[in-house]
Amino acid sequence: MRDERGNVGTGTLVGAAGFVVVLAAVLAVFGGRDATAAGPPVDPQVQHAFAEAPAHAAHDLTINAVWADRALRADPEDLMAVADLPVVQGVLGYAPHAAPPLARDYRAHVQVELEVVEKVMELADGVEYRFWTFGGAVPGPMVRVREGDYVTFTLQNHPSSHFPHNIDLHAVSGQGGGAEATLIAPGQQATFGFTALNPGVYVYHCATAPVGMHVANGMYGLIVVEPKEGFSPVDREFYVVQGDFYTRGDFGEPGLQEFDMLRAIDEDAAYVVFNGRVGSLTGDNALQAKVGETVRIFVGNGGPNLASSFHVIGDVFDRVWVEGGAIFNRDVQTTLIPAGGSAVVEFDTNVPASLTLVDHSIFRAFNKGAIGSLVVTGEQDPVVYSGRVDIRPYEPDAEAAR
Amino acid sequence: MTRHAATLLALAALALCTGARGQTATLARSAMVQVPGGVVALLFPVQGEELARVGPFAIDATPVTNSQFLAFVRTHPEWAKGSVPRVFADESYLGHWSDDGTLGSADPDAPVTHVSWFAAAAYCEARGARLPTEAEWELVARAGERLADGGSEPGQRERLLALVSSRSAVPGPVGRGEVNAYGVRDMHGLVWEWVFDVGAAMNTADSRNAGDRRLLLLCGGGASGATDPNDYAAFLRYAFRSGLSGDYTGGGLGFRCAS
Repeated sequence: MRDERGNVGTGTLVGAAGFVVVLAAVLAVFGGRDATAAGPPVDPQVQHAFAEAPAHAAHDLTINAVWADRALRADPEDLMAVADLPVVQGVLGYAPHAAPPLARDYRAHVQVELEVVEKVMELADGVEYRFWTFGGAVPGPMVRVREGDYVTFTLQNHPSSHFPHNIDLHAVSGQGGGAEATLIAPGQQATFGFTALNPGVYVYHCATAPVGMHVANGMYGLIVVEPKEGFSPVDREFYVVQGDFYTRGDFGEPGLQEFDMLRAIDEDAAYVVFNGRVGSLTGDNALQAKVGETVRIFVGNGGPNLASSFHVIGDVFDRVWVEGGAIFNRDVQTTLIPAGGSAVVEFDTNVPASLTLVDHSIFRAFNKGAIGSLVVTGEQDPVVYSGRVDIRPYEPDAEAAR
Repeated sequence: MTRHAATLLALAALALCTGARGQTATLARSAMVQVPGGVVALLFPVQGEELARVGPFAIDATPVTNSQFLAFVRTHPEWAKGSVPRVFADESYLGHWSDDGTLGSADPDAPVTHVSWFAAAAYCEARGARLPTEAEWELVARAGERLADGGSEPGQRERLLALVSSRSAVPGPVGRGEVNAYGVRDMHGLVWEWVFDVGAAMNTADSRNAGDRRLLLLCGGGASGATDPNDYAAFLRYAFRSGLSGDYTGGGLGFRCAS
């Protein structure tokens, strides 16, 4: 084990007999064993080096030119060394607010810090749950970078945590999407770097075993990699992530509800919710827009189990970036968002209405919580939608009798 | 240096320290429980050895407490909070104690936490004991309330998962939690525990397999190759151990000794 051996090497400087004993024990345990046997190379000195200067393995390097040509469309800026990139702090967006558009047309070295916190929060009114979170929220905050950016990503596991955690960002090309590099026990942090090769909207999630339990407890969010040309400007951007929850008690049963493993394995969700809570997007929490605006919703699905038939009652998606990728479809009623997947939906608000966001697997909306509101206010347009213009008795039998 | 020689040295060192200070009695022995040994199916068995064989051994009935560890530190000042070299314990070593090295507000009867593998191993050595191996620890951990093989008790998996996932933020006193068929307490409900060969179960004769397993455990594969993909408490334990280095001292990690 590389680091343990490094430690032992330092330890030999210490002469006390007690430490020699420990050293012998260390060699007995770790000596001659493969590097993977006794845990990952968690080396505090490496982390300190990162903290003092973001420079590391990639510092003086440019991306491999072959990949720059193919993946990043061969802009001259893609051939700059990481060290020459401007360093910017990543800006996060907490649901239902999307991280703000980047307003940046150049490549950067983005530094992102995300803290893992285990905390009890309400899953519904009067129903509490031990959430495992990125950033203290479900979903975790939206991370927004630009295609070609070099991202230095630091994951921190709060000392009060009971469990180890890590992060798999679907936008990352590399082992486990960063999961191997970021596995950390409570009270540790780990850093790795990656280039955002592919534009799109990607889920991130915890990938520590039992991965289903980590995801089921709320450990997911979105990382948006804006294409180089950026997204077209819109009036409103929102951030919505669906997730399913598996509690010992059925829907609405009050009190602190424990995770139910068998229920999760059976995919028998007690709750299917947007943004981590029944009512996160209803009542006072409803999304707001005005007539004549263009609304964009970054929609993710953390799962862990259920695909979402995402639909907005009372409007049509004018554009949907299918699966969060590069192609869009027009005039869509319901878009399927797989667990661990995403979509970007856009629509113009034509008339005032209380639009309803649902998973159109409709029992989930009606009985398990997958429902939200987008309240559109403004001028009526009776040609687009007249509202009721008449009501009267309908008596087909009476008509026939005459 | 062989382990045998190391043990002799440890005993010699212990004799010197305790002899000089005459405080042998303060290293109060935890009650130990005799375990007849047996076979245990590790979560990730070694190929060709689906069951790990464990000989008879004794294990502490409860985790080592703050007060027990304080007695050790007083007789072994090289393990005091301010003097332990960073390579043997990271910055949060005994972080829940007062800066002057006393317990402060820490519960004397709660399991000692914020201890590194090195400190835990040294404590057990000083007692003439050692850390339990992963196979020994797992053999005890899988006991049910009535049967050594807890797997045949209905609801065992769910019971253990509930114990592990509902631990309080600050562990309470030892000896009041769950007791298993061996008479061993608090294996699940209080703290994680160091074992002698951390992560041994992730190892195989073929190091490529070991790497694959570890990656599966950390990168979403998880249950592939596991003996019981529904044993979530075991996944939590193995994942926790797979992330440790010997100098780690977290607030949720303690230990008990075996011999």
